[in-house]
Amino acid sequence: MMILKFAWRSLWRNRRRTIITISSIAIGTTLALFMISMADGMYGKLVEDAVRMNAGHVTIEHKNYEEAPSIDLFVPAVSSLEQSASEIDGVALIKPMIIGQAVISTGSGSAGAGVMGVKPEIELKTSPLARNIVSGRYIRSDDERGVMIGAALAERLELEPGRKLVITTNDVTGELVGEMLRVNGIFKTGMEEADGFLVQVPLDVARRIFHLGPDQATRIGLILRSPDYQKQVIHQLRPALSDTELGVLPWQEVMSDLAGFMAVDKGGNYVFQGIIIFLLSFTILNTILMSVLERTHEFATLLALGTSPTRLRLQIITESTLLGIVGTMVGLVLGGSISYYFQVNGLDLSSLYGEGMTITGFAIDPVIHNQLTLWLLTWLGMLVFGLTVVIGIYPALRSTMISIPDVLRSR
Amino acid sequence: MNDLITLNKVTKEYRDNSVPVRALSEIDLTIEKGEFTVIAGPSGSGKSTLLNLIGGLDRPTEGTVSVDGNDTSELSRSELSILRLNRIGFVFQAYNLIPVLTAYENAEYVLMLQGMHLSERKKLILGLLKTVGLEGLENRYPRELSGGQQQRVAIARAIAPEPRLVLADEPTANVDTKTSASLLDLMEKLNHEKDVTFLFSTHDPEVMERAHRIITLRDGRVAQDVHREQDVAP
Repeated sequence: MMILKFAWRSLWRNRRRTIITISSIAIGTTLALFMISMADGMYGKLVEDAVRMNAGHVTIEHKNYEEAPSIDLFVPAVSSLEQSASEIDGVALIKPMIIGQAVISTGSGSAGAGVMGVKPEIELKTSPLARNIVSGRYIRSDDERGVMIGAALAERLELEPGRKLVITTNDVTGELVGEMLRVNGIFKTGMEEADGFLVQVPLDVARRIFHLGPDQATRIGLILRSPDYQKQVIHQLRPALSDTELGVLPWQEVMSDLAGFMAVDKGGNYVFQGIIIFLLSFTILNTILMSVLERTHEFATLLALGTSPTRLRLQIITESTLLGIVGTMVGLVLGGSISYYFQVNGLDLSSLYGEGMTITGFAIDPVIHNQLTLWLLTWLGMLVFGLTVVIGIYPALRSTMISIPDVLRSR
Repeated sequence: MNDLITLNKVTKEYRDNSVPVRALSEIDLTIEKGEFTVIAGPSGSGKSTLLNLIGGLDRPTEGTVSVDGNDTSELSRSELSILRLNRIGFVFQAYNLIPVLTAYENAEYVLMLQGMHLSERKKLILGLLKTVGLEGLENRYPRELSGGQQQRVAIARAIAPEPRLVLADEPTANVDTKTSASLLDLMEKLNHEKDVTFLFSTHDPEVMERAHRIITLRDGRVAQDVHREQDVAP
């Protein structure tokens, strides 16, 4: 108790220096918390949109499909797999898909396109594509010839709702096949690849075009209640499919470009945060060391009176601990409040980045909502606090490295 | 065996800009329990060095220093801390109070390190501060006290744990005559009543007047060692 009182009063002996140090710790913590939660929010939203539009947090597909995506590498017995997957804890939605390549032709020309067969009722619940209709309406399961088309592709082929187009592709046997469809609606997601290359049709229409059976698809995407379930779901599914030609992949393998970019960018962010914290640690070290060096006479007196060196070191570490507690708490409250504000209200960066910011073809919402989690608050708080305590060790050791008679004589 | 301090052929050398300086030369000295002794001598004669060696703040270059049966050369840093904590009280010329502690807390500090119970400490310190004339000033910080008042706190701190030995380096140098007399009265009383040994380093004639024994150092050697007759308390 005496050590705590002693340490606390010693800190406030030089009020200005202590306030500057606490402010440095708090500002560093605030900055790190805000930037990390912003990056987490941005990437979290990006990943959610990407996985919901594509093949889910977890994808079931043919083992060779990733190497050479081909319509003949399909998943059989989709309905039984859907049934099994629906029983796994954490799985929110299951979206069987058919993905293939085709040529779209109209009276105005032709263009290569990616064809995505989906269950519209599920897409409406999950995919950002279904929420970004700029013209017409979204497809329904019973639309026998309905098709959604990206805005850029529609513009190129001079298409609008109600107009016809012809899809030409190779079916599951490799035969060239064609089908006339009618545009139901046009979507604009802000993603160059989707808007300029993608068409969506109901799953049964895709089966008909590619001559797949009624219980076949190229992928089954699992949308999870939270990305945290990913490992657990994969762990449960893999043994069940080990004797089949099917594989279970996390979205990071299915969308490896996006995952790779995020890993690199996050790494860069952490390096930047590390530099801030590294510089911050020098401020803390400087404060505590200065405070120790200007009190050598007091320490010599305390040692002369019988204070053990261990107790004296403990007092210095208590001082840095108190600095760490106060600075970190202020930083967490301040950074947490700012981050929470932007988590609720969003930070509109459209004036900075414009509307069309994309990462590896996936659009980023220019209004970024921070993602503040208890885990982030905990590990960042522990890191900054721990760093402050560790930094206090050297000054603590220095405090007892004195010659008592020399110091006492020096006054 | 009534010896409290024994110095056996003690030599202390310093290095001043790489030049060896001999502060003490082959000192042989014995101080008995209950003595009220002054170490006198001109500046640079080795008074403070001698006190530092006896207080376990420094170690001799040669020879041995024994305090209450403990050879300080053989004790570790921590053991020396314990020896100082439990056996020796220090009064410094510059008071050396801890600026962030109040008068009460400064006086209480050593007792707290010794683990004395709070209520016991409180009773003892309040009584002691009253005795040294600081009643009502317990909650003042050193900066709010005069030099004399600070020295009283320092003396209260030194004598509160009733150590075997009090080492006082010029304790009256920065206080007025009246304060000096009252502080000496207090130390003398403690010497008589509790048999606490006092060892002063001083030039103050009043301290010398009251001393039982005056050891005069010159050039790091004992030049004179005079035992004087004193009234002994009943």
